[in-house]
Amino acid sequence: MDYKSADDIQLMLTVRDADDHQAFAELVNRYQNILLNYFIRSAVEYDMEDLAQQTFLRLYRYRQNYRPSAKFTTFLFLMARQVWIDELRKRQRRQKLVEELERQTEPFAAAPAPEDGADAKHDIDQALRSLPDKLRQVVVLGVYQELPYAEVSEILGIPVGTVKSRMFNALAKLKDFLLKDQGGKS
Amino acid sequence: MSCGLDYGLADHLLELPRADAESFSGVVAALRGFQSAQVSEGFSDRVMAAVKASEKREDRRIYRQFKPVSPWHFLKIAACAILALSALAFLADRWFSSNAVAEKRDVAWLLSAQEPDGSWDPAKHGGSAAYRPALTALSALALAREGGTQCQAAISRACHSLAASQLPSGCFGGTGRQEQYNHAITTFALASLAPQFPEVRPVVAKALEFMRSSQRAAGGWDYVDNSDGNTALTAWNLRALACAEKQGFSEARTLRCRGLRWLRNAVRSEGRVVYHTDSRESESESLTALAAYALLDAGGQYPELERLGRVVAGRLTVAEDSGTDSYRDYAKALAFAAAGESAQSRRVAERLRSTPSATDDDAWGMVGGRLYTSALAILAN
Repeated sequence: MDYKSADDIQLMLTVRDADDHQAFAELVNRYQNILLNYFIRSAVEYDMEDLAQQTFLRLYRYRQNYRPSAKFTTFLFLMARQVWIDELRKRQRRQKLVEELERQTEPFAAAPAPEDGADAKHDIDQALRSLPDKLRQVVVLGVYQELPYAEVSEILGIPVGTVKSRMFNALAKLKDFLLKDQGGKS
Repeated sequence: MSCGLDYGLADHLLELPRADAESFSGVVAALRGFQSAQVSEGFSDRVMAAVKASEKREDRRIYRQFKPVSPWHFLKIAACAILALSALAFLADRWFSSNAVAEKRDVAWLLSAQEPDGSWDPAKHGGSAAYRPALTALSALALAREGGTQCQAAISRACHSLAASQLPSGCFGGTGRQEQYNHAITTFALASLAPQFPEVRPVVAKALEFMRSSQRAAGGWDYVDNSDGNTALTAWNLRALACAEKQGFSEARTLRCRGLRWLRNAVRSEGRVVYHTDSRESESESLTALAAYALLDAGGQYPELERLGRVVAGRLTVAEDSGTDSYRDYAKALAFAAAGESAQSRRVAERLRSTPSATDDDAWGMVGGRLYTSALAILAN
């Protein structure tokens, strides 16, 4: 099999049916940066590479569940979304534990403030982080990954109409945030 | 309007009023206008290693269902019991030790004990020859605390000795456990000394390559097969990486993030720390202190880890009567200091300084002998 020229579905079927590591490595090479950026834009503050790695591991573990009727990217981002949800739950549990144990202690130091002269990249990051997760996910998948709305709808488990309304709201909020930020700096 | 399967953002923007479409197009262009991040070098290799490891685990799980109870298991329990009794003997001996050791005397002794090649040989002072690089590194660090021209010359010789002992792989010698501890401690020392001795920077860079190659897929470090890491060794590596990162070795960052993630998973409810993430082994104070320090040290960048580090550090006590253990007390002094508990840190450090420099009663004396207790007593302050 010519792994380089095979499409994603052929590769994934080879992984599913033959546990083919070379085919899987090709998929990893194709999607490693895409997944990394997915997590960065989903407001993951650290461990982005680990979450990408976990997604690939999960993809491999659940390879038998793959059906070619679904696009490979839909299957992959469903895994990535689940990895992120699990991570959020873990973090929330830890946060709760910390808060319970330390309720009586002095407040912790706040996170360091962004440095002065933050660049435009920082503004975009901040704007994305300012969005509620449900809006941010629509932007990450629809704008950055350029997925069709039908695929976004399948990954997030919401109707296409909701994808549209969330996208509209997200872009409106991002526009306001960026305009306000520019106004504040001028 | 109905949406086809390929209906996406571009189609959506076309449906909107012109003003909205134009302003949103600007937002979309701004969002897409920045370069994407790239995974670090070797990422796909790490993923494939993790995939292979997960397959092996699956195989072992199947095998275990049919595995008979091994006599080796009983031998291990017996060995643990003997070790525990020995530790109890150490604890009892501790009550009879009353010699106070002054810091200056430790420094003078360390200077006198340096070998002509710049290293320190633990075998000559009650320890094990296998840990020569680690003990050389700790002794050099201890002298750096003291300063002075005599110490500076000794540290310089020590740096050259450590650089000369570095193997092509980047490690500093030894096998298994010795290799890993030698490596983490020596890398930490050299990264700490890099500002005063810039000639060690290439040695540190090479050492980081070895650290990268020995990091397990899950982010930890260990010296046994089939483990995703152990807390003590991972904490030492994290210490080295934090120091290297501060000295401008950017490649340390990714390794550190992965290591911190592993370490975070070694913390159980109420801040209890386990040695292996898949075990229920009871915590030790050394382990708790090492983990607390690593988490607190990361706090400047990751506030969540600092909060967790405080919970872990909250389990530590000064415990005046808990036996002589330079390693534990050194780690506790560091953890208390990092948690802002300076009074407790001082008390532990003073106790460490007041223990005898002879090492028969130190739980880890067989590792580094008097070099160990002397260097750690200085470094804890």
